[in-house]
Amino acid sequence: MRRTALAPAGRRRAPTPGDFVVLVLLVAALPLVAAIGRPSGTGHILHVQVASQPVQVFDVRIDQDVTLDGPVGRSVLRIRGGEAWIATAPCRDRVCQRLGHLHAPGRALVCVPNRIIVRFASPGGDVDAVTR
Amino acid sequence: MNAPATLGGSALRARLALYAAAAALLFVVERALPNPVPWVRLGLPNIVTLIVLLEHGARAASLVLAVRLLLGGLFAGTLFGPQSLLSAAGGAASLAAMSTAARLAANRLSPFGLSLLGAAAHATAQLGTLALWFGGGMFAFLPLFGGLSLVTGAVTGLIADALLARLAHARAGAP
Repeated sequence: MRRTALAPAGRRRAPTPGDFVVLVLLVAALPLVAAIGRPSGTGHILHVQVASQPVQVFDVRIDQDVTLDGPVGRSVLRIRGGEAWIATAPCRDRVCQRLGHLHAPGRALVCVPNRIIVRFASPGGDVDAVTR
Repeated sequence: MNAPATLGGSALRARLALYAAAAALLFVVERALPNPVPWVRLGLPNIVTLIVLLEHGARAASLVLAVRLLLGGLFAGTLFGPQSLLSAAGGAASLAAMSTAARLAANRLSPFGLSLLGAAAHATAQLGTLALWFGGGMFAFLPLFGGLSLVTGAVTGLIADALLARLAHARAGAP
């Protein structure tokens, strides 16, 4: 394994003008990315998907507890007063419980180990394609 | 600056093994630290990736990354699970971005700039991987995680920069 020419003898110390160009470009890309990723939604229909099971649809205006059985175990999605959150999770880190309450389109509740995603429906709706 | 070039094959392998062990240790330590924002971590193992990339080249850095992912997954108990796949996607994308940038603009970017690019690639690749499972809605997180990645990339880049300078200094001062 030969040392490559990536590190010339005069390697630059931070920060260089090039570093600032990179920083400015990346910061400038953020609003652009935000505009592309801007969510749209009807605001009260939740789409819940567990692993590769069909998408389930819930109305956040109806208070309920939903049990979700994923690859790791049982998670509980709690819907109260127009908000939804993961109340219990079987995984170790419980990142999903710390994601907080979902009350408007744009964010999602995601549990990676248990492969759960909860988000507000988009107007076009992709449910039909999944629950055929 | 020439010390790594004079390392023989086994000495280089030993050094890379140490780098991989250090990276795996940082990975485990970082997992144990509390993180205020879910999913967001500083990316300490990427400091090692960047140092190896600049000291020994892209191939050595990929080797160290692969061993780190394997060891880290083993220690954390997530090997071959979804989290390991996310780590691998992020690590590989970060290394690809940093080594490409280092090749194209070696004299214009410091480790700080390279680390920014690596962190942005890391965040994008992880969300891209999540999008494969969960759909394109995951990219709604990109502004948040992309923005935070610039902060974490800046911190780890400055640490890598300082460590690389110390390495160069130690070599220059060595008898």
